[in-house]
Amino acid sequence: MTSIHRRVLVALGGVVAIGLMWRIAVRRTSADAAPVPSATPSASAEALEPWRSEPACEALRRAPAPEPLVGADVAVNCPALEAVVPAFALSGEPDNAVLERLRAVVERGLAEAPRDCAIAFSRLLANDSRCELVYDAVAIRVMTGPNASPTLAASELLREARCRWKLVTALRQSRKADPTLAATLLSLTSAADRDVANSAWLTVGTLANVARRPLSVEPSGKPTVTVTPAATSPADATAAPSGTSPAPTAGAAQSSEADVSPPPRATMPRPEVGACLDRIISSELEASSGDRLQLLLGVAGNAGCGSCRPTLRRHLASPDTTTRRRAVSAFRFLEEDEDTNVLCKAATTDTDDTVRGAATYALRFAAASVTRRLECLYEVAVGDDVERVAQDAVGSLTEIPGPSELVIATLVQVARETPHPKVRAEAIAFLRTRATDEALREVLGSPH
Amino acid sequence: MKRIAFGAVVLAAMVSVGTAEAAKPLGPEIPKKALKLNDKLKAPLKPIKVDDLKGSKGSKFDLKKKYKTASGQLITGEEFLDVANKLQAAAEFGGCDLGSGKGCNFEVEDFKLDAGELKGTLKKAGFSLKLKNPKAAKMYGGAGNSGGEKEPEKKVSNPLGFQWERDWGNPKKAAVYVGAEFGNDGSSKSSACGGAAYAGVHLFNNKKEVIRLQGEVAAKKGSFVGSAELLLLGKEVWSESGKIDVTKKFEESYKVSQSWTYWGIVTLNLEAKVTAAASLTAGLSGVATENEYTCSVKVTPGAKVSVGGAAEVAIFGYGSVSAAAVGVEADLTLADLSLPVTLSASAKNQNGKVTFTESIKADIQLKYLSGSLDAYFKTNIPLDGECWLCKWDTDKFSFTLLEWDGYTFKEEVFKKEATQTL
Repeated sequence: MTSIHRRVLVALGGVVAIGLMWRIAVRRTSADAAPVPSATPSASAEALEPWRSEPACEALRRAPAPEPLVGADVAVNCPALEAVVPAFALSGEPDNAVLERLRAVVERGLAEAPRDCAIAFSRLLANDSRCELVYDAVAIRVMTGPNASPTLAASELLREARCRWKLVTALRQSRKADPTLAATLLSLTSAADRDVANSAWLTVGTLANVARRPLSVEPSGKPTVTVTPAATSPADATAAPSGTSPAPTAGAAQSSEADVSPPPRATMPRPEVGACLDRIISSELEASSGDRLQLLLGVAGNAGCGSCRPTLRRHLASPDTTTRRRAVSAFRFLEEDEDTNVLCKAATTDTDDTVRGAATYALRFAAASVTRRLECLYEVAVGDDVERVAQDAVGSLTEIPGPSELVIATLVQVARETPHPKVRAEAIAFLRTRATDEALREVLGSPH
Repeated sequence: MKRIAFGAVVLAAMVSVGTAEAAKPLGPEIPKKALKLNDKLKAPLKPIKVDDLKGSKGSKFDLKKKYKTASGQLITGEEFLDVANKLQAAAEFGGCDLGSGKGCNFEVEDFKLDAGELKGTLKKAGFSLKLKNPKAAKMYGGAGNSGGEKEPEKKVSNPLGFQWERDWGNPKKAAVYVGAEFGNDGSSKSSACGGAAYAGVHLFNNKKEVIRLQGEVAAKKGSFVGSAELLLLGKEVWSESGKIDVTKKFEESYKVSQSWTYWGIVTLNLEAKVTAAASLTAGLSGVATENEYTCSVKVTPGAKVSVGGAAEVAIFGYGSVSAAAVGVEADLTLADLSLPVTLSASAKNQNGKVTFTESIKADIQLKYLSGSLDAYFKTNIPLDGECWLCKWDTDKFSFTLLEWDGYTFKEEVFKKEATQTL
């Protein structure tokens, strides 16, 4: 080897060394700004979690890390725990009353001692192996209650446990898209436990949707109705003011005075979290096939993923019915006019009735383009030869969020024109809840 | 006398048939012969005879003797000759001559020459052949025309299916509805089962679907596809593909607001919280073999829907009653339902006769509208006409907003079995 060769090699070695040092420095800086740990600390976080290099995910990278798990030796003071433990020892599924009481006790406990009870309840959950409804009753409130700590909740997500998938799925009821929880969920999408990974994906989708919503208060979709006192309308309500009626008897369900304390909380949207999750879902969807594609279509559907539109449209042309059905369902929370057109086209022209049914079902969700949606649903209810698809359309008409007078006018048209007797009967049954028999006779023009 | 050896190269959808000696690289320079859908593989024009063949060391070829193929598999001389002639016929159809030393291409996707038979022959010789799946025709549940077979696909006539929906209660106050739509489909070469079950509630004229379980299984040539998902309030909470055998439980809730005014001065605002404890048992399976295409679905969606809530009371002229003095007493179950559904469809080929057997069974078990929902408030304002000045005690006013004794409903929704010969 000549000296020139040696010099070249030494120079190359120096470049490689500088490159390595640079990469290490960059990684350290990145780690400082991204304290959310990966589920498997031994492996490279970037390799495991490609989202870390996604520019839209700055908010997740900057999120506080999950707290270290509080050791079992650390004592906590949660008086409500005593009332919660027996529910986990019950054999069989408790009835509704027991579950309702359990939910109330957990809520009260978390309101009185948020941190201690969250830790105490989480330990209880970690030891459970039955994954029954009592688990949900506790998990949902620990993970998403008004006093829930995202960093504490995230640490619980990372704890290996038999029913961890339930803890993951409980987060779909979150009212806000917390970046720490979002980052932790993303790390769990590659968990070895299939239930955990699938649940994490579906919950990521729901969280992306939550992140874009201006308010987390559950919309009722319909205006409230003031009912006159029982004295003036006895047939219309069981509401009977009973004056100085006795206090609740011992056998009655628990009073839920505590339920009143947390007022409805309006949370601000987190569009930056939503954008990050959308990008990740979109790129995963694009790269998916087979079973994973079916899952990711569900995730995109939960998310109302705008950046997924091109891929979803491509799958709408799939020869596979299941893929088409799931792709069309994934448009249900998308709100642009074009999305409504996609659903309308599928609802009225797809050759497969399950796909048309799925599109018809999907049309009930978004609040945008209501008039166009009503037109489509009318078209399906009146024009589809398959009765069950037409019936799906009436189902959607009765649940679509929109001005009730438009909905009622559409249902009247459907009742007049549909060739399917069952569809007509269902439309009239719904109209009866909104109008008197006389009014119905008048608008429908014939006995019904 | 020819010394025959076989070489087959599978490159994506391309098969080469030629002599081992002629293992030239395949490529665009070799003309490709497309074979049409209805082309039949006839006996070769230049059939290979026993005398044309020789053992590896020049020994006499014997139909009864066993010979080793290129892959090391043992086949009889008779099978070897059969392989040789099948490939010779295919090669001739492709416009080339086996043993001529020239490469030969033809597209497998166009190679509709009894693919099963050719595949079996090649298998004997130790060759693998990748046949492209033909494009699926549109059918319910995703089963497609498997095509590429001698026998045309025969569709099932009037496959079983049902759509059912019913509600109970008074939608203006509280009611529950349950629905299901399931069906089968199939042909001589496929079967498909699927559908959806759903349930929801009306509360104070507000209708909302709470649970929806939908899925399907399709068995067709070379594939079995199963897929199911569970949606709660429109959110997909569970999704699975392939063979499925699970039991899962979930809780979901939403709120409905309602107001009442009493005596023109007391306004009661109720925020009712509807909580659904949903359960799911699902078993999806299927068989997709040469002579059997079976799909099977066993699902039991269930939901316990209860109502709790919180209230606010405002008394005209006296401001709101403090939260501590207002409460809701709830022990109200809107519904506790279970809807077991089983369906199956099977196309079985026996001696060229395809029998399509199918069945669907669905039942509902429902307990609904039991318990009550009361709101109360406490006040020392003499709302009941007591002496205004001498009133010092606190009265409790209670309002029964919803109350039922509880009912049960059990019914066979659908049950049918059918068999037809295709």
